[in-house]
Amino acid sequence: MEEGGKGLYGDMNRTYYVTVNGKDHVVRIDDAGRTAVDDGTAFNVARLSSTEFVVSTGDQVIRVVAAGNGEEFQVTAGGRQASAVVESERKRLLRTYARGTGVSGHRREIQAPMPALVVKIEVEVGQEVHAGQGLLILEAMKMENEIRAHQPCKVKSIHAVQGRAVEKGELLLVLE
Amino acid sequence: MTRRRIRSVLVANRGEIALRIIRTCRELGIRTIAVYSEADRAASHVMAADEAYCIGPPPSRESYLAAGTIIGTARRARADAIHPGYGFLAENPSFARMVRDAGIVFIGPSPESIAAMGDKTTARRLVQKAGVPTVPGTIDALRGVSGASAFAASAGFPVLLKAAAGGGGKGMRIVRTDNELAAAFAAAQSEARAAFGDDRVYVEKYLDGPRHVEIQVIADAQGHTLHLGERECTIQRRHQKIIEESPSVIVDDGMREAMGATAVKAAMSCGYENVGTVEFLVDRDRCFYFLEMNTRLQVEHPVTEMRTGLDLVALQIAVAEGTPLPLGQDDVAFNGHAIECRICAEDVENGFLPATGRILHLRTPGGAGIREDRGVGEGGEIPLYYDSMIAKLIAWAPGRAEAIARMSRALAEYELLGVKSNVGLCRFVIDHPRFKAGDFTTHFLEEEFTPERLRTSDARTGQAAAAVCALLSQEGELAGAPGRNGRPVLAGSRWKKGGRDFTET
Repeated sequence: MEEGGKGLYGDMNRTYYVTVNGKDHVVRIDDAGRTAVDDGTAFNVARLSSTEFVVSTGDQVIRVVAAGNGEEFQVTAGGRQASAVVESERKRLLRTYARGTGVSGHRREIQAPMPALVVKIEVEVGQEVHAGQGLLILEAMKMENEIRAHQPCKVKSIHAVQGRAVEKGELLLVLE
Repeated sequence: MTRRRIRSVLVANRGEIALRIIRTCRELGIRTIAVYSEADRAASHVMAADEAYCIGPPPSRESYLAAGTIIGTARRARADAIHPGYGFLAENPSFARMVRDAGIVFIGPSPESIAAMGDKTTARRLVQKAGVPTVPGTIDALRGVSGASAFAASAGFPVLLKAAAGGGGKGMRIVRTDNELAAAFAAAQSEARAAFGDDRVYVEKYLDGPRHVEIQVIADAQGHTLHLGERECTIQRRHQKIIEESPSVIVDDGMREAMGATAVKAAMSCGYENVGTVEFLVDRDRCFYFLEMNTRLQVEHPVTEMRTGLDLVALQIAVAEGTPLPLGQDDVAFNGHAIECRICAEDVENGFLPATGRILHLRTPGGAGIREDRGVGEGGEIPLYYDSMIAKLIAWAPGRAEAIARMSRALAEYELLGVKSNVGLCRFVIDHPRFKAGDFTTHFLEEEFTPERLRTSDARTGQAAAAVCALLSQEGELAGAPGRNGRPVLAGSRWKKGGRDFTET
């Protein structure tokens, strides 16, 4: 966690969508690393080793062992095995945002879905782009995410500057 | 009969069975020699043995199947005997002969017995001559559909048409009524011709929903042959056993005696020596038919060990030394109930594909009546070159219901991460009402199991798992976030380099 409160990415990296054995859960993590799951029930997680955890909620204490790559996990909890998939708020936004870009025929503003660094601008003003073509690359959390056009369109104007950070909601470019 | 004291044993195998053999040798004060492929340099059996020798690259045929290299290693290490375990060279008669010709004791049956039982037709003829029931059928090829029809009229439907040159289910037809017979016969013939260039077809009685029950036998060089009771191995997936138990719910004392005596006859028909297993199919009327004989120590032998209190590997070594069996048939005592689950590295939810990788976390069950045989530990690799079995978990209790409860409890304690496994599938079977009732056939898994059945967990447990995964995910992001010290420490650490240097030595 970033020192001194909210950190560079605000609240976004504190909410996680976790699917355990096909069942969806929402986990919020506060500054102190406490977790609230689904309806806000507090789960206190203590770490025993790199893979072993003791989770307490109310009077219940549950042993959880987990290992994974940050997105997909293999879990044993309460004597049952499970697989889990984790998606952060930030990633979910990116995913849904990318799906919504590129409406042909009328003006469309592309805004930054999160605070990020503009790594590369891949188009020029006046350029015709086809569906699926990359427009620009944003970096957040050391991961590069490409914003793509979903339909054929033309780049009307570019507002982002390569190498500069942008805030959430900042105008990046305009398509038509 | 010459007696020869065995003071050192080379174990020509890997994994749990190599370790299991080494353990008994240790207890007997026998020097142990392990062999290993380049993929197994740090494997448990290598660490456990007194000496270990590398016998080649990872692929089996260049290492664990390299008969000449293994015998050369045995000579170099001055091994008195070679134990082949199961799989690899265990049922290869020419290997057994090479070992014998090298003046080394082969801990197992003679090459002649292995060869006789290895050939299905020879085995069938041999045991039939000894009065062992085989699945009724015409051993020889039929001239036409009339022969099949005549057989079905006497044996009753359903019948199974099989290609004489067959294998892999090709040219095989299940026929349930006389009307279907002619068409099925023609189809089987043309399929056999296409697959094997040989359209000979024979017919046998088809056992609908059979159970698979086998009898453990042991014979000494003096010709004493005993049976050590049955093992029920009906829970299978594609002919791979998953769960074995003894006693079988369908075998009572009378049937055990009959099956045991029959298995002994089958073994004696080929002059069998050492441990072996006679497999039977059992139909709904509890009639049993010889299927095949396995001329080696079996994966599921611990079930028999738990129930009889005998150490089969110790008996194998004694018999190989020429020592008469220390007990007679009446001295074999059966006690309680034992169940074994084979824990395998496989992706049950993804078509049972074999899984490979490193075991990141392993915590195994303990407590009363639990035995675990395993050849790989935490941090160990499941390489892609070999069998997918990681471990065998065995539960013993005075009765079947208690043994099932104990196994269920032990499976719930079993924690294995890093490699996908079938622990959940084992628990599904063990907890299933039909398994508990003893009501199952070899089709049990096809009838009852779908991967979705594993997706059960109570709400709080799922939430607890979600909380842990979210924290781990956040930790991963922060370790890689800009402005921090970059990548996780482990990635470029000297530990990994050390490990690499080690494997290249």
